[in-house]
Amino acid sequence: MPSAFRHPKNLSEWIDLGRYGTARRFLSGWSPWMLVAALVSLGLVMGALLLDKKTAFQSGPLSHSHGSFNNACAQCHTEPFAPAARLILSNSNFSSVSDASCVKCHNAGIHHLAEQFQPSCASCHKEHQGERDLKRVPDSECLQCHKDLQRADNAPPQVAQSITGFDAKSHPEMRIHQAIGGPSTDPGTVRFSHQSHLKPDGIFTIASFLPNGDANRVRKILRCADCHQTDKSGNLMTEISYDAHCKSCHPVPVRLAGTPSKNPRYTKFETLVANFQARPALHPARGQDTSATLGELRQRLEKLIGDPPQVQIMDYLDFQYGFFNGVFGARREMSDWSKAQMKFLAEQLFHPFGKDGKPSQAGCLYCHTADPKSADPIPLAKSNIPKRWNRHALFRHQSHQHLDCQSCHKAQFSQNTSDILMPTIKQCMDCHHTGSGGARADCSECHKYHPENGSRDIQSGPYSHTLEALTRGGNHGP
Amino acid sequence: MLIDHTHRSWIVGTFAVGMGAVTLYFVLDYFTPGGGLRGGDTVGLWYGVAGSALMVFAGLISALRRLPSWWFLGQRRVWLRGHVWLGLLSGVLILCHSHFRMGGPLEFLLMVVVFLVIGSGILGLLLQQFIPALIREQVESEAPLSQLDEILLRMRDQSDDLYSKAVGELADEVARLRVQGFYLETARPWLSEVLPVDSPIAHAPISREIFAQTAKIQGGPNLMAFLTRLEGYCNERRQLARQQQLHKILHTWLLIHVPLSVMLLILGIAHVITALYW
Repeated sequence: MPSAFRHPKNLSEWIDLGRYGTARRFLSGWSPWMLVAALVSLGLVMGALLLDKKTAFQSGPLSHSHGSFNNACAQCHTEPFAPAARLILSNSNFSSVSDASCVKCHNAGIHHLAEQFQPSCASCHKEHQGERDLKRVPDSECLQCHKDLQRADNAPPQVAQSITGFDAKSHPEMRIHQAIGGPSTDPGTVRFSHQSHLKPDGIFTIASFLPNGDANRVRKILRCADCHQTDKSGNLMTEISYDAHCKSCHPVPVRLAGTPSKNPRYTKFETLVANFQARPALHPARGQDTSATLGELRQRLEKLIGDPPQVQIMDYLDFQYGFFNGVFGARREMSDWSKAQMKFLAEQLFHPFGKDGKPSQAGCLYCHTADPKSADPIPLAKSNIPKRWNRHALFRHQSHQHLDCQSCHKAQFSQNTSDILMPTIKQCMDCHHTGSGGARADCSECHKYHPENGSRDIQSGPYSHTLEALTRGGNHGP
Repeated sequence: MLIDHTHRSWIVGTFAVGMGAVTLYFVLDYFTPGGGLRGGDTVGLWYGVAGSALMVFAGLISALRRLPSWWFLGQRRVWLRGHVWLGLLSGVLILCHSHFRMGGPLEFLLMVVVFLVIGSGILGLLLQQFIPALIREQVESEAPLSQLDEILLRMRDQSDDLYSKAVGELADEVARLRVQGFYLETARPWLSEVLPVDSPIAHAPISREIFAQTAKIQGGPNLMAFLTRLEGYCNERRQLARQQQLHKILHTWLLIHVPLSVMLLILGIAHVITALYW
């Protein structure tokens, strides 16, 4: 039932007819609350600006590696209103962070000269997402090109044209195992049998040479780490070098022509000769050829003979070796003797054969292969031991140190140098896969976009930022 | 505003546009390398612009209330429906723009404010479906609440007049004191703007009983007329109190919705400027 007292005819008696014509009080109704909300909002914004707390306006926290200039936005954001340009022009190429900002500190090289487009740094390395590894770029960035690889010069790609993931169907076998242009073999020319060196009961090695030139042999059990060590980074293996890894077991003996005299008159000189023969020949260092070996021997010979040559030595050598009377006629020159000895030593190093007609452990041919085309004094083929096998992937041995070497490298069965002992990609996929319980299998786990020791064609390099410049914002350094 | 069949086109349109926008966003996100879209990408920015534009449109309704009904502004009904449905749609677009992230400090605060504004708006919309009907059912003598103080003043004035006449003719001192005590301590306070706590006549049955007892006082015709009128006033005041209560429930959500809308506007402007600059 409606009101018993108020009805349309007497309504004027109950209400104030002039109410809606009067001015409202200031701050009536919702106005006070709206004013409070406005003041609070403005206070927050102005407070952040006045207190220089630009972090309040960030879209997300920076990664720790960039934390030193968390409040200095201009260190990276050098392109004002770039987002506005992205919006108005609908062009994602307007980046808030220019590549020049990044390269000031990060000297990252170009990925490939023939890549179809060069993405900006910020398009792959997205900041303001809190603590994350900025180097780990999502696979989708890589697959932009590698899903269907095309070169800017339209030449055929030198790597697989389509790579879409890390499984047997999506990722090709490593190039070292692919028979591209012929069988895939180790290009090394140094004869080596891993099986011989990894015998469980050890092998005989040459500990030293006796004065008579015979070898002093001892038994030694070899492990992989006796020859293969990681570099300082713990990732790659150091190169095999003769001096570090072979010399202790395979010294190269030298023997002067002639036999020792029983004449006690020449004991002193024969001692000198014995000392000469007890010291192995020098093996050429990396980058040197066999002339280094012969040069060192020549120096030792000259030292043996003396300068000026001693008459007693000449007499001894004439008596003992007889070169001057037989081979070179009546001339008695130390240089003739030296030349003859050098010729003898070179032949000894290059053509030493044992009683069975096979190369003996003395001499280069025991390990090295002859190369008739070589211009070296001792014509040997280059060793060609690969410095690094997988040039397009970075393997971290340190991360895999819990594994036995031979679980990936089947060296215990290898007899030939030509055997490739690198694991296949399937072996990697046994652990690295996207299924549950698998190790990481994203592209950046093994591959690096920026080449090592790369640089860009813009001003870059080590840069000394002052602390004030970093934390207070403003332009980059001097 | 009742959500009835006349809203069908708005509901369908909002749902269709919302689903289309979300679907398009997820498709673009799937094909965007590097972890998908972000708020600062071109697509994300356009979603932000669209969401902000709808929010601004929704907020303009408060300004519209202060403007005359100019023909080119369109119908208020349309604006109100747009406020509701496009306001909801703006939340969807802003969620897409943010890539469903809360973001940094300012963005986090903005997202909270957006949720509160939209949430309080939804609450208000739901209340508006039920509370007016309750008012119609429970408050038969509904009055404009802005005139409540005037109505109560009239009630008190008229009650005072009747009271004077009724008491004046009572010869019995005890009766007079009883009527005086009942009116001044119980009934009249009930007719004020601020209701007394635990008033005995707050409940209709108890009020009827009290008035029935009071009516037994021996007095003249004025007394009966006074008590009858007073009971009517008290009953009506009870209904007006119920109307006040339901009105408060119906409008309390505005205490969150309106101020936070102002906050949303100011913080949103700050976000737009800083985001487009950096």
